[in-house]
Amino acid sequence: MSQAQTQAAPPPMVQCSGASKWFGDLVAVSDVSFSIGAGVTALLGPNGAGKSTLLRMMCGLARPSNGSVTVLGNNPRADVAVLGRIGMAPQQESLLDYLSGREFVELAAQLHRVDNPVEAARRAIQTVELDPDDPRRLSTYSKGMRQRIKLAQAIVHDPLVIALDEPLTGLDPRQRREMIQLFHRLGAEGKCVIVSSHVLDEVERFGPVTKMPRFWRCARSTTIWRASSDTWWADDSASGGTVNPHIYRVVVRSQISTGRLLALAGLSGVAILLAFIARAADDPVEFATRSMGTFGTNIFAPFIALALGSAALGNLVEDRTLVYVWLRPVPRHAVATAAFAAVLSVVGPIVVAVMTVAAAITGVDGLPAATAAATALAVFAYSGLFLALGLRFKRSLLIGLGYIAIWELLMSRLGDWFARLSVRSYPMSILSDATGVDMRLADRSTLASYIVPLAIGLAGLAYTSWRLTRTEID
Amino acid sequence: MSDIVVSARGVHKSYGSNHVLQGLDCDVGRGITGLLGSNGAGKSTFMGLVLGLRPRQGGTLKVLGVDPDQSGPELRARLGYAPEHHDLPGDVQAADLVRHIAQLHGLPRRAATERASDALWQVGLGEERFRPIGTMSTGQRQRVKMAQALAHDPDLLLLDEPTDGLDPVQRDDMLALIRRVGREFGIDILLSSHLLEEVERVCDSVVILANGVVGHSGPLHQGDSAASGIKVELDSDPRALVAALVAHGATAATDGHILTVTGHDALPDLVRDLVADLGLGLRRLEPRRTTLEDVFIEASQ
Amino acid sequence: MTEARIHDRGYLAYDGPRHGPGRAMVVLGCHTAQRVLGLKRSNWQKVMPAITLLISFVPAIVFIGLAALLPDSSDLDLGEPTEYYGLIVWMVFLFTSFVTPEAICTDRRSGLLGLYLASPLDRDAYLAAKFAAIVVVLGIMTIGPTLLVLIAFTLEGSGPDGAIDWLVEFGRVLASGLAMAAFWGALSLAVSSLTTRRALASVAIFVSLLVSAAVGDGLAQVAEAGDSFGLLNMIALPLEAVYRIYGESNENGPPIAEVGTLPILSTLIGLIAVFLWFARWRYQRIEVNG
Repeated sequence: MSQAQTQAAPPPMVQCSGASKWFGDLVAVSDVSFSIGAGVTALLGPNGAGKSTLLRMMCGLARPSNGSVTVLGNNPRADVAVLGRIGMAPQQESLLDYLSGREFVELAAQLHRVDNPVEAARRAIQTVELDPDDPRRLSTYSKGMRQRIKLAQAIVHDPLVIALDEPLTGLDPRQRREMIQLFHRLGAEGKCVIVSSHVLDEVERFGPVTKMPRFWRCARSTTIWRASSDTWWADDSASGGTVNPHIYRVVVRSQISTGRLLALAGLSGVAILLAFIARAADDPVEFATRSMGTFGTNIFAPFIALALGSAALGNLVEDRTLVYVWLRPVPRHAVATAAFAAVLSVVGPIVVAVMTVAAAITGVDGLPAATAAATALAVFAYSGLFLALGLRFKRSLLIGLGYIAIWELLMSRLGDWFARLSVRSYPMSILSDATGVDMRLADRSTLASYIVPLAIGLAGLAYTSWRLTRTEID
Repeated sequence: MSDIVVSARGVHKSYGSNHVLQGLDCDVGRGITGLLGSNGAGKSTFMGLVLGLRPRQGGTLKVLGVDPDQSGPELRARLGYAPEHHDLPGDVQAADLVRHIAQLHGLPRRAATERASDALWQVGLGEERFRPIGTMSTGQRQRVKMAQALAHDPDLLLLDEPTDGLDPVQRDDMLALIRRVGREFGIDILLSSHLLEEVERVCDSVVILANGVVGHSGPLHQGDSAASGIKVELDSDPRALVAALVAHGATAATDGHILTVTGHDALPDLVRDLVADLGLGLRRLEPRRTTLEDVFIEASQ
Repeated sequence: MTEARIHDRGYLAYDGPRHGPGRAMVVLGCHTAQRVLGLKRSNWQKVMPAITLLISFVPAIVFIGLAALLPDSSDLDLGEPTEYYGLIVWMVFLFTSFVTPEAICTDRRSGLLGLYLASPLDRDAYLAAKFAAIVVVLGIMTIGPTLLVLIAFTLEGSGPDGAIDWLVEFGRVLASGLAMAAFWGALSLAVSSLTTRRALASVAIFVSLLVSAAVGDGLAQVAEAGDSFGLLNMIALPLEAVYRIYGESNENGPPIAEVGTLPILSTLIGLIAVFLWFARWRYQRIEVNG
């Protein structure tokens, strides 16, 4: 785009040039070229025509296989900063169910670094005619309410480009009418509103239908230019520190559930119970060391880390709510570190504290400190490992269980060579060293017993971070 | 068989403090009946009661002459049900699923296999019947749901939002299929929808649910409900015309580019003259009909 | 002359015979057993059931092979059938936690439960069919190998003498296998009823078995009341019940070996009842439509 052109007429806000997207053999979008400015534009096509894929490419959720998609002159996939000027409501119904509507929209505002997120969220929620003070969680929302809260998070940061994927499904006639009026209002304010729909009579209400090149029929209202090219996003930058606090909070929130708390409480109770049993045992040192080792590092730490670690990003990927993080101008590595920090800070302190208290109850000298160190290392290693597993595999929980059951618990009994490959043997050897009780798997040098778990945890984090930059959300 | 398929008197249903149905009275006759209502009006809950999935808290309900709470299994063998959700087991072939459900409804294995295949042909999935459902589009899944409800030759078919998520072509096909099942196959159908237009297109009668009671119920007679007023569609901003109409004593409501004008004796002439005077482009001018949308909005209030 | 052909036979009403709800339970049970075993499913789903089943039959096949190859097989000490279960208990353990949750978890997640309850099945019939399917599938593992050994030895002439002894032996094989299958099957059903996520149920079953073993045996070692705490060990309980069916007790075994036969059998049956009651209670509360 040349400078002269920019001055003559405003550049298109969204431009596709020969954009194609295929998944394996399936061609979703084939060589689409068009450019759109301010106003309401409708993307019309049957199911499976590639409308959603096109919108996702505009919002940086997917990378075009061929050609280019630029928004406000930038590639939304490569440059996350431009995402600050884009708002999107995806088609999927799943939301961050554990948040209330207000928290959900506030999160969007915070990640977009809006000046007053609370006020902005309130305004956006009122715009879509929901109640900002409704304390209910999103999981209780009806279809129509979900549609509207999705719209609220798309407009909370006053974006210039608003992409809405099937925003009218699930709304009743009155709500539809009001929604369409809202779109026109936004279009008249100089925003580029792109609405996809498969229902013909809906689209007719957006305005006169005009034909677009390449079998994309678009309905388009009058174009009003207000935004000038240099004020688009010049002041934006995608800095976010190493751990994004808002994403950290969301992951922590997603981790907390009744079932998990019960599991945590139950396993903590078992740890304490075993400690009391050890006090009364014939050989307290032997029993205490073994039960702290076999329970703490073989069951408690790995399974809690599995439940939380594999879910931290895995659940967001599986129910596709990662999109509500992805649409924000946040560096991807900050997402990985935030998730890792969230897992560690939820699991770590509790498990380590419970095990240390349990070790202290046994009354064996030197055991509390060794247990604290061993459990902390186990938690660190397994959290990193299962965080990466959760992102890599769909069936991460089952694969993780298989890993623990077969690799760590069953195969490591086959001999020392196998035992070396099991993560748990390293922290266990710290316990072994501390009390002198010989545990079958645990004979590692002191250095290795600290370095190996740390390295495994960090490797998991590094892999997660790398993998996130390549993730496409469908 | 009597002409009343489902008969409800004072039916109550609540979940905790959430009173979904509060004294619902209606008679569903033979043919195709639409169950209309906005989201959360209790359509799915009512279908659940008809199926006997949950005991109701009050009132009487007779489905095909029996009480679903008392003879649930016998009744359900005679019903076909297509739920609202699109989830179906992804790794099962369509033909296997339909046969399995038909067998559960009492058909012997061989008959179930044949009829599953037939039903999938009838819904237009004949060529696709050995595909895993996970690889199918939303439209095809809706058809699979239809086929599994149909295969055991039920007396009454319950379809919960059968066109949800379909594009216009698929929706036309589905509505045509529903019409065919209702008219040619002679199976009575109760279908729920929040889209008025499709209920208008296929149903013989309608039950509108609003706030847990029946807001309106009765037969649908298409085309004979011309109300006063006309619809006007312009190709540009209608505000000038609205102002002019109001100045002449008419009332005009806008809906996008479409105006609904009422309250004047010689409306078509008035609109024609005003449009000409203002130099506007006129796209469409037609008498307004009382659509189901009007009935719906009235019933919801 | 005109040639008449039917191009579209249209929709045909069905006037043939119809079975009742009882048959629906059988159909559902068979279907579930197939799915749990991974038949007609992707290869990934076949891995765990196939491997654990194969491994659990390996010792049986080795025994039979040895007995057939060695000339004087009656001198061969192949151990008691009770010891066989000790060999394969890890496999049963893996099978229970990895494979059986498929029976009910997936139905709720995939929306199939809604279709089932809209058929002549009601909630109790549904659960009964599912439990039966789990027990049958687990029974392949717990009854299959020992039954195979019994039949092979009988054919070779080294089995129990006389019809009565043979029937007693046969009855013991069946009863032992059923006891284990019913216990772990009921546990699986109860845990699976808690979550729609199959993998989560797997983890929960696995951990609850491990923890019950650690706690039960630990308590039995130190507490005043002593050995009866061994009953808490949900791995050892059904195994010990098997020893009692054979009129023995596990000599080198866990503390539960010191407990009387009556408490063991009544705990076993009591826990099965509690697990089944719990699953039923959960299912009464599940909403399916909407």
